[in-house]
Amino acid sequence: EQDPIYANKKQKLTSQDIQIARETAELFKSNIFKLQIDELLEQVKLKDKHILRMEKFLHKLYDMIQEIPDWTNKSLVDVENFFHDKIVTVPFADPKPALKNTLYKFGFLKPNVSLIGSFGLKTAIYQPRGSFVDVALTMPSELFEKKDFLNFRALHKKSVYLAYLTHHLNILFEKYGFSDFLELKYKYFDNDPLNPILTIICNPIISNNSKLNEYNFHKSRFSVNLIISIPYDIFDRKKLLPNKNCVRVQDDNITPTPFYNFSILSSTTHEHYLRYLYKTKKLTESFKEASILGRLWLSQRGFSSNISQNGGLGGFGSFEFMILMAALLNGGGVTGNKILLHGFSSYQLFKGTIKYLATMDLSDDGHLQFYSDNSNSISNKYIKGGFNTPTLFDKTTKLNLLSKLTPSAYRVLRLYAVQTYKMLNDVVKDQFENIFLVNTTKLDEIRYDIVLDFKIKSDIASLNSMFGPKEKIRFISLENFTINKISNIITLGLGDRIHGFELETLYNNNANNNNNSRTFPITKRKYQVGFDMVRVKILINPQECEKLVTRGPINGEELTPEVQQFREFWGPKCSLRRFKDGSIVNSCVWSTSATKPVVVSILEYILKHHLGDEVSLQTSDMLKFNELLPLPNIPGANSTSILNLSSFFNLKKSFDELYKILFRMELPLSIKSITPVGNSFRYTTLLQPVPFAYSNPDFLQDVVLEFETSSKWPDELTSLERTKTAFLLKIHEKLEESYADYNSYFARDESIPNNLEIITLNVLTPEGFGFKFRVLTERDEILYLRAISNARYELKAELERTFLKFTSKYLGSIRHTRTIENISHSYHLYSPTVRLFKKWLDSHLLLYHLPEELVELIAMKPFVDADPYFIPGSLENGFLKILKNLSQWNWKEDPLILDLIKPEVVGIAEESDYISHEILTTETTKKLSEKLTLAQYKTIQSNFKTMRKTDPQGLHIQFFVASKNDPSGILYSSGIQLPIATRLTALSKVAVNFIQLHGINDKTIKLLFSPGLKDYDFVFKLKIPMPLRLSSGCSGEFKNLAVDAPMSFPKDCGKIIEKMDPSHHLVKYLAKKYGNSIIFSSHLYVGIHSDRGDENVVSGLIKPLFKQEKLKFRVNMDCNVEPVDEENVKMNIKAVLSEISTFGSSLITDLQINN
Amino acid sequence: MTVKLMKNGFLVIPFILPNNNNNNNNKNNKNTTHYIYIKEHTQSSSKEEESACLFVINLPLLSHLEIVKKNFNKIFQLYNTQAIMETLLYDDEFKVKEIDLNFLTSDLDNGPDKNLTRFLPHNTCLLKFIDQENLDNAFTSLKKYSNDSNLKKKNTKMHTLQKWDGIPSPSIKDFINFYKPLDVEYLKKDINENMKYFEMKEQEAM
Repeated sequence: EQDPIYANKKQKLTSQDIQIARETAELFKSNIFKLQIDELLEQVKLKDKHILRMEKFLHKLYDMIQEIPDWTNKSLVDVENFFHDKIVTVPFADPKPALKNTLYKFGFLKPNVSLIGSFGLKTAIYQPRGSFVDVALTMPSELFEKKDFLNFRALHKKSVYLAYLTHHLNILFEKYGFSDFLELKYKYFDNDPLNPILTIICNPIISNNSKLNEYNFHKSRFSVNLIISIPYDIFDRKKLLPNKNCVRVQDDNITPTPFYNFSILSSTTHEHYLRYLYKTKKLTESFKEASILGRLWLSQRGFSSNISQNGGLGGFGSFEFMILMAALLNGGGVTGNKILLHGFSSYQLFKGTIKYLATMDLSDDGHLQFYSDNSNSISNKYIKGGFNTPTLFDKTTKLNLLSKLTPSAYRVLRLYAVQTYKMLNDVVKDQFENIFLVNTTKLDEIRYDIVLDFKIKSDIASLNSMFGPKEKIRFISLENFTINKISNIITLGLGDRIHGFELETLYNNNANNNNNSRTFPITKRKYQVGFDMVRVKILINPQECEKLVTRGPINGEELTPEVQQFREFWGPKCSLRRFKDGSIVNSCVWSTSATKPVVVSILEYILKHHLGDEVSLQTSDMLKFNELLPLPNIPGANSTSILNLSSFFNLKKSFDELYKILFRMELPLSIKSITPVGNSFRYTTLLQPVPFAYSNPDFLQDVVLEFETSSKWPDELTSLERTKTAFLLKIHEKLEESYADYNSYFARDESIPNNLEIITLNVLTPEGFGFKFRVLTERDEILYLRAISNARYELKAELERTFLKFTSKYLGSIRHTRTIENISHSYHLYSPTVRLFKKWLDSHLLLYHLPEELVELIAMKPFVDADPYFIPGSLENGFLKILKNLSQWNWKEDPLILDLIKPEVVGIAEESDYISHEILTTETTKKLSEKLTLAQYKTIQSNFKTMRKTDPQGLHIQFFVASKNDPSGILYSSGIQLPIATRLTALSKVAVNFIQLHGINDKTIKLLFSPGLKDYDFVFKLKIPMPLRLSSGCSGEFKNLAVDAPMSFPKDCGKIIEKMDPSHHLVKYLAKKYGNSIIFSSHLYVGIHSDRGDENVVSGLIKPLFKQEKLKFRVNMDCNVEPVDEENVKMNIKAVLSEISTFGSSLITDLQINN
Repeated sequence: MTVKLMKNGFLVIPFILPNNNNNNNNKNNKNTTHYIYIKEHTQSSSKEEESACLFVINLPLLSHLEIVKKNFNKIFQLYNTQAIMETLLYDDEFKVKEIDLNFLTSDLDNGPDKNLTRFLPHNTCLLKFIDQENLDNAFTSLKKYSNDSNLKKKNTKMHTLQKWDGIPSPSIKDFINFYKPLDVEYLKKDINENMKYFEMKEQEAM
């Protein structure tokens, strides 16, 4: 017998059990992770033979450097004379030294050569796109004076040193025969224009001299960077702190020159940091692996050590990642507590660093201070109080390691860190691929919500006039200055309307920021390509992006500096507005539009306001997707944002009225529930609901009606359906009696195959909407199941499909509508995105074949499962992501499992490792309980596996789409024909490739939505005598057609059929008759595919079996055939086409036969 | 090679389909031939109603009994025969009758075993003649027609293929009538009757 105390104890233990179970799960996950990491590390490992060859060359290079003769004490005149007749030019930074005031001396003495960077640290990986071996050549101290850090002197000395080295290496390469395959080029180190270096590029040319070939390192994809360093302690480091002035312009010794200072100071620390990292690596077993993980993570997100001052996502590459990690191994917490421990696994080191990035603000709220000489026992500390620029300050070297990282790039970095940290904590889904393997940088339009090009006219007069002497020393280049200027304007102007942004300068439409783009020949002084365009790439905050008012400070009696600043920033757009609480506030008011997001209007205005008319929006092709959404035929549609759901709300209001009426009715059985299940209730109709637009195929919105439980429902289908109809007749009568504003009529419903007895009550409301009521009873399910068991074997599959259809239409639809409606309030772009996706599918004649619930679930993936991207913030982004997901979905092997919940709040403070403790608020508990659990996830996966066992090739069911609502995964995808599924995949592949190749413009967008009619075996063109565009609720381009838009229902309900689509029934019967051998497709929404909405097509795809020239003649072949010989027949396509032509002659205008 | 008889015993009966104006791309398609396959129906079941039947495969689109009569009669006239057709059995061109859900869901029916329901493959039916003699006449003529129609162009009189007339072309109105609201009075009546019938059956079952 069980001891009661023991039992009690056991109960107490349960919460701990859960805790342990959780930890085990965590550990398990990291074990899986470990396996994946090991495999990944193995794959990216450098090949030994490449390392050997590289080392061989580096030794040779060292020897050659030793051969270069000393050259000292040269004046600028000497330097100019020396290089005057040489190929090599001195890569002086701007401003170039002038003869009259350059009294210091230049020269060359043998450098101290050391391998730095990842190759030196042995953390390098094989990168097919190429990477670098960094070699630091430290100039001897004799070449410098104490004050050389001022006024570019050190930099110019470096440049002459570099040029002299280049000149001699060029000669030596020639001498040793290396010039056959080695090429010398100048480059800016990390794109910093103050820091020219020499890069040695190896070409795949085979030399005749086999000995020389041993030095050819082309296959390793490495280039060698020769970086000129300044000795570590030559200058007083304090004088180069970010707030100090080191470039004197006239009497100004105050204006800080942070960028310049960083450039000088960082040139002195190459070896220092190599030693620091090397020591840390020695102490930390998994440091190397974690560094590689960091490197991969960053490069998949487009981050590098390049400066981000000139645009792009730079300033945080693997070097900065390693330094941060090293710093966190010796503190980093608010109290100096260690964030990482030396014994951590690579996974834990990586995760800890990501968590730190995600949770600690290093810019506005505080910064991290560390010591890079390990002899110091003071621990590194997070200090409250930030400098409004990302700061990782090294007390030892006085260097802010994040100087190259702009606040805007840092903002994006943090977004990624927060997202990755969440992925690392995901115990349900395997996120390894999303974290390390997906390269998110391939297509800007997928990565960012909005991509806009702003043309900056060639002379850039207004910018040049702003780029005064102070700006020149602060920002160094006009490009940096411009980027900074635009960044500030965007940050201030768009505020919380966006999550982040990236800028990029372009010249002749080419990006300036490619890794290799800033090389220039050794004959040139500098990299000269300018820029004529700035590309703005934005991550939208959908919750705030379309708000109409930009609120500024309250307007008091006195003009405060804030008000002054706000007014200056916004110029004439600023006005005073009184708000509900009585306050008068300085604000800007914007207007929404169906085609242009508010964010774009603001950008256009504010950039022009600050930079003058020279800046103009050049390309905004992405926005054209907005124009593709059918515009509803209601007043003010043009100025209604795509995020506005008011037309749906109107329909819902109308339903609510009807709902109340029905519930008040006295009926033989009282109503238990009235559940709207139509797609308008979940905001997913292709066409927005418009009053009286009864040609819209979605006009009648489905409603499921349930009466209170009764045992009297008949026990056979026909009688059951008729009894249901009897109840509906009662409702109809009562409506007629007491509610004259309402009209109602009965119609047959064909939504459940093989059940021809269903009759629906269609109610037309005075507000102009229509609802289709169907009755659900507790008997239905039993009867459908009974039919399956009673049927003969051959019919069972068909009856199972009937049952599935019933389940989806009467039961699943309730859950589906509720879920989608509920979560789409949090995914603001979902509604327009799914509507555009439906349009795309209907343009390609595919929507006809796909249940809309399936379409809606597929469209939901980019929202609920956005990783490694962000939740779509624009229509085009959402749409392109759907296509991208579809194009990559290998449905034979992968199920689509959706966790249909609202987004988790990105609030970083909420993120906690200790989530299992009692600190959970009720809100989070609720959210967690709604989330798919690991067990549920596994069950779904096993459902998929079971299904694929019987159908490994996906011949019967292709798309497995499961969620908590439907763990079976096949509720909406059974019965789709294989050619349709493969066509969907193929079309999305073509679309994505096409956009990657040709970009997004008028032409490509048009093509994206043009059906490939030539792919079908035959296509009938149809013309419908009555235009359906306006009566579908779609606004027309031709005003004179406006009279056709119905403003009320006809008095006789029967008349509404005059504006219904006849082609729908033509296709339906063709499919019934010839469906065994031909797949027919057609547009479902006739109203939107032509100007008047009176054109359609019926395309036919002959199934492969029936394309054969010889088929054995069988009684049950169900195909119109002609004899070939006594045993064989072939499909008689001519006869079929002739029959169809006769059958559809009232609609058909043309037939196109494709071979 | 033209085929008049399939190896499994089906006669090949060709007909020319009427022209229509839509086949713009198909201009030389004037003589589109449609092939019907027939065989005498041997009674596998003991059903009386299936006596004197032709098993027919692949009737042209929308061929109800009157159309079949009209076109087959042309052949019978050609060979101076008469054969009176009574009905088309199991003709279910649009596959709407294949599954009788009511029958399958009802526990009230004490009728035949649900597994023994008669069905024919899609695109086939039985053409019933009033008696065996009429069937024989018909079959003989059809056989001759099949034979002659395949004699190529030597015998100019007999080779001419018959045209299959009467495929209806539904009008726009026909198509949109599918949307037409049901007549409420009719609906009420229908429901009343059905409910009564059901109650009756229910009582019988008890």
